[in-house]
Amino acid sequence: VTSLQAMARLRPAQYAEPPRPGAVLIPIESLLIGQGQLALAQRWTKALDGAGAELAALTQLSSDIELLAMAQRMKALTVLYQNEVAAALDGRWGFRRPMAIDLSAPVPTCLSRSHCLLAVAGMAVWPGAWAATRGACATLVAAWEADNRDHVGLFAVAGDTWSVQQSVTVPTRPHALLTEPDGTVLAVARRPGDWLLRWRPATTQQQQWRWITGDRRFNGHAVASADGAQIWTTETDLDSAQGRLGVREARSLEKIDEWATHGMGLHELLALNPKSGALLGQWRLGDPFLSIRHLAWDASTQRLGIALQAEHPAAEDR
Amino acid sequence: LVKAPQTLAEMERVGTPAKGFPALEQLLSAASGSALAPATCHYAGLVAQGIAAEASALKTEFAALAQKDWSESPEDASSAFAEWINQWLGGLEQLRWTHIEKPIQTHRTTGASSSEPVAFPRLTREANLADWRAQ
Repeated sequence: VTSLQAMARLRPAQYAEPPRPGAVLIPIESLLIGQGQLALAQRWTKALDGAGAELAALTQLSSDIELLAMAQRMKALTVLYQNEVAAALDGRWGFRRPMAIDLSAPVPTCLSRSHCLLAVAGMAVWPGAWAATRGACATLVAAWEADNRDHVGLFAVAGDTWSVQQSVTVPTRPHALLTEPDGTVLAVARRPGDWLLRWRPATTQQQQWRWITGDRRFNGHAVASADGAQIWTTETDLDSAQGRLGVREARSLEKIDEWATHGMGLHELLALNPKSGALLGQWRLGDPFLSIRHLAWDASTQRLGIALQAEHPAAEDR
Repeated sequence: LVKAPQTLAEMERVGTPAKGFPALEQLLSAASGSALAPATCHYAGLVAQGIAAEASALKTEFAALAQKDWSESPEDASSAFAEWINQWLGGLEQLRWTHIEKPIQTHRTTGASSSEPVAFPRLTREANLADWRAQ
């Protein structure tokens, strides 16, 4: 944070004499001012100074609460950059996060691409509520970002309004959500992820956390076996970058086995024997710039929907 | 140390976990106050030379970057700025999550006793070693 402060904000003397291009590094604050983004430049420096002050106040005896506060300051800084500063600079510097859903707003008539991505990535129908409210309104499970924190929750959609019913804060951005028959929700960290959460929105029972350690990381998906006895989680072996399917006991979520998924960058589109993990089928796309994201199976029409992300270098090829 | 390299050039064959400051720390701490065995001492010397060579290369490359006239090459400037931004975003997020928040959250959600200290990474030589091996 300290080095970032030195390079990302103006020094006091530079407010009187701005840095000259070609002579010194132009700090981000200066670039923002140059773009006419005065208010954003002020918020940027305030976030930097806040993180710097928090860091300076830490000691070896700082409590966990103080450390977590520091972590939140740091996250606020990266989120501010990714969500607002990068866009204002109009450059390809730093990846941008999808927009957070504003849950106080009415459902837009036409969802933006960012909203669609979020909806595809982290939204599912909550089975109990869906059955009760089919038609005019529904309860959906979704993941979103608000106040620099990531959340998983239930929200009710009725007509053109939506409202949060219950939610839980999760440590990092989640990816896929799996609703279970009893109304619990499994949320998995986005790759390379390290947590798996079973959230019980309808009860007061404790949440169930599983942390992945060593050379494995979650790859963002969890699927229940047909008999409900197992949960399969997509994982990556960091040593070899090979995909793995973690076989977990459904009740405890403890890992009891692991199957190879016969390739790198596991996402989906693979058929394995549900008893042994033996490879039954594997499908690859002819276009290497198309990336498989999510699958949806419609049993009534026997059709498989596949969500793809086009990653062609040239926008016109997408 | 049986097949230890004899020259700095041969250190190229050695993997990252056996080089750099963590490797030097392990070699020195294993001696626990007594003199290093000759073979260990020789290897520790090569590790130290490797660290010096790396530091020197970094210094040289940073000096070249500092002297470059970026206004003559907007493409280079843009690429360098993009890399710098991505490095600090990634580094800040790594520090926040891996080194601060994850150990605390893991401690809180796995039923650890409140008297048990949070296992922050790299607090001990053993943890440091495990961390390096996991990379």
